[in-house]
Amino acid sequence: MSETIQCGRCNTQLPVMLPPPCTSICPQCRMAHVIKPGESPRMTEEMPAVPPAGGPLKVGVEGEWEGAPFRITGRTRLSQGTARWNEWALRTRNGEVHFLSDAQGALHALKLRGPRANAPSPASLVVGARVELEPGEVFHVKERGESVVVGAEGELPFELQLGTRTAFADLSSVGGALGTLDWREGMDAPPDLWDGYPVVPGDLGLKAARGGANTISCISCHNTVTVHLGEATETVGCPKCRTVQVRDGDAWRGAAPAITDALDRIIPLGATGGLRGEALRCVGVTGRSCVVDGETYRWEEYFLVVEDARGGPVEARYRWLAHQDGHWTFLRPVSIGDVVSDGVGGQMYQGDVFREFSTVRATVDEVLGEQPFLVQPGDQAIMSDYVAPPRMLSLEATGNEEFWTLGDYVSPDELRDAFNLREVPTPHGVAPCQPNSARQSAWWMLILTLLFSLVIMLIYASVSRGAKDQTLLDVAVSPTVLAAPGPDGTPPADPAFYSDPILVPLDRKNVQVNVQGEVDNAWMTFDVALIHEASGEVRGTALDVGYWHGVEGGYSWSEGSRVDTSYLSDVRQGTNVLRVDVECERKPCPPYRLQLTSHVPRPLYAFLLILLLACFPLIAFAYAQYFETQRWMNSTHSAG
Amino acid sequence: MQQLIKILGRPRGSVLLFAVVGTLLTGGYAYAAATGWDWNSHHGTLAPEVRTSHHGYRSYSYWHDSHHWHGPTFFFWSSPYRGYRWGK
Repeated sequence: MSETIQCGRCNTQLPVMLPPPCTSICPQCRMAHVIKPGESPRMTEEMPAVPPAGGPLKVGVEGEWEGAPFRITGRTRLSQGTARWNEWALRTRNGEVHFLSDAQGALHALKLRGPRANAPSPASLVVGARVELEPGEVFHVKERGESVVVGAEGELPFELQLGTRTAFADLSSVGGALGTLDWREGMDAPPDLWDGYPVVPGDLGLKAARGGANTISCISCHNTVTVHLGEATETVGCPKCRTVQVRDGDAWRGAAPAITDALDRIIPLGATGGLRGEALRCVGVTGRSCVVDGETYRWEEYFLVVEDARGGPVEARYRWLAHQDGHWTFLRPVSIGDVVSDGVGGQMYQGDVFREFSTVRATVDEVLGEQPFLVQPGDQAIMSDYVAPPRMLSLEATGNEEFWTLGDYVSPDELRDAFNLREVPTPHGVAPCQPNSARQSAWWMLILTLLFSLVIMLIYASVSRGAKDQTLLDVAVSPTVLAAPGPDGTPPADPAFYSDPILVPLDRKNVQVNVQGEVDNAWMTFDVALIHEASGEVRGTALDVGYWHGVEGGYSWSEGSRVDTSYLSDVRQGTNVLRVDVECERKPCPPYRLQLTSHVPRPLYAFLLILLLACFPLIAFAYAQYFETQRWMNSTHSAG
Repeated sequence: MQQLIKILGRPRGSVLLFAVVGTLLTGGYAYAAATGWDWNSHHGTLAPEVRTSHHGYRSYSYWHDSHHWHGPTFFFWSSPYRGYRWGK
């Protein structure tokens, strides 16, 4: 259906591929021609020259959109403040017209969904707020602003006029889907909703790589500064003289001077490395600070690009490494629509709850290298951190934009290996998302303690069961009174109880002694000795029982016990005799029962061992709590 | 185990050290329980002359004259109740 028109100024033949109304710009003299249905083409105004895009996107380039071949017909160059970006119009073979947004080095495919009558006015939109355009069509406002047409080339599917202003709101939904609402200047019609998703050139069948490294000259010291992001670079800080310059249209101008001169540049600009499975290049670093309770806190943010994701969306391309006090956090962008408030001050992302940690007003102090955003010393933003160690959600909010990142704690060793650094600073204090390894260790130790305790109890039960067959003696004894000396003055026999010879079958084992005295409101003591007849070795121990009871004030009470247990250690095998000497509170002493059992494990030892083992996880848990206290001491919220 | 590692993270050196210490202590307990070891109770050896004395070690004086055996623990063990009444 391609037709041609003739340029009204230079007579160049211009192909017309789009249905009217459309605008065709002469590639020779840049004169714009508006084509409307049933009217002759009308020459309108000369368009300023637009800089080359520096990538695979060019007017006339062909690719494939969702299976349908397409051709790029034209480009609109838009501006917001000093920032510039492109929107490419394309026409598929089946006649559909779509757009590719090319901003900050990110490509988004945009498809017109149609007008949204329920959309709020641009002025009433709140960044970060939830909007429902149609039932079930829910978005969060990511950014709002106003674009101005500053140039164009090729053929565009609308009536183009330089300086046309369009209010827009960038939207994000759960899952990362994007949308844009456009309110065209001077039109009372409801805004159009453009549905979008991030793409890389490869998705569109475009093979050429985007924007390789080039250089610019510092406007202050004329040092050559390498620019890796090509046209996406919005800010450059000279590594030599630290002058910051920002893109102003298609030129560069000086920005505010650096506030500090303290950036360490631990990761050199241009350094490449691999972290968490991604090939990265450090292209810039920003020094930032905030003041809390009169104290200034400083940190650096190293800006990284994913080397093998050129031309992709922000989420695929850009990373940051935040550094403070020797602690590092690896940050990547996340969709605002995927972050949901938990209703109690925290945020939820991917099912995890992130607790509110700090909210500060951060100031940019220095910029070195390049940034795909307009950023200069003195810029301020509200930064809120939410933690779920080892992860962290960070919100950076300016008046018109909210930007969320998800961070992962990176140990200094991992960072050193990632970028092959000679040395990295030693960490001080506890970082907001530093994993509490003591807590992990404490849980491991607790699990091990439970396992050890189970084994100990099994051993105890097993040996105790075997001891049932090792009863050596079980007798009831009635104490005797002291005998008188012999008539010839010979000393009396010992009145203590002596057992018959006991055959101890096991050598060097312990022997458990149990006594049960029939005491009543009295005490009774037992001195026990086991005499090995062959060697004369004696093993001894003492036991005592005491039992009292009564009624006082109408309440009966009792205390003490009629039973006691003790152990003899290292008892010799063979014939032994037991001697028991008793004393009691009231004579005559009451009868008692005596039991001897060989090789009985002591429950006390099992208990003490379990208690000893339990000390390890208890100490680890105590340290983990101390660690958390240290972490939350740095919080601007008292959530710890 | 893989699930535990996923939840708690890979065990650190301190955990491995504790595992070693715990294994040694539990092993020691198993050995002590199996061999019938017990903390030393009072022990000693009868003096040789006792066996030739009247009544031998069964004499009253032997157990009540305080010189009844030789050994590292020489004193006569005693109950806290001896000579002391507590309770009601």
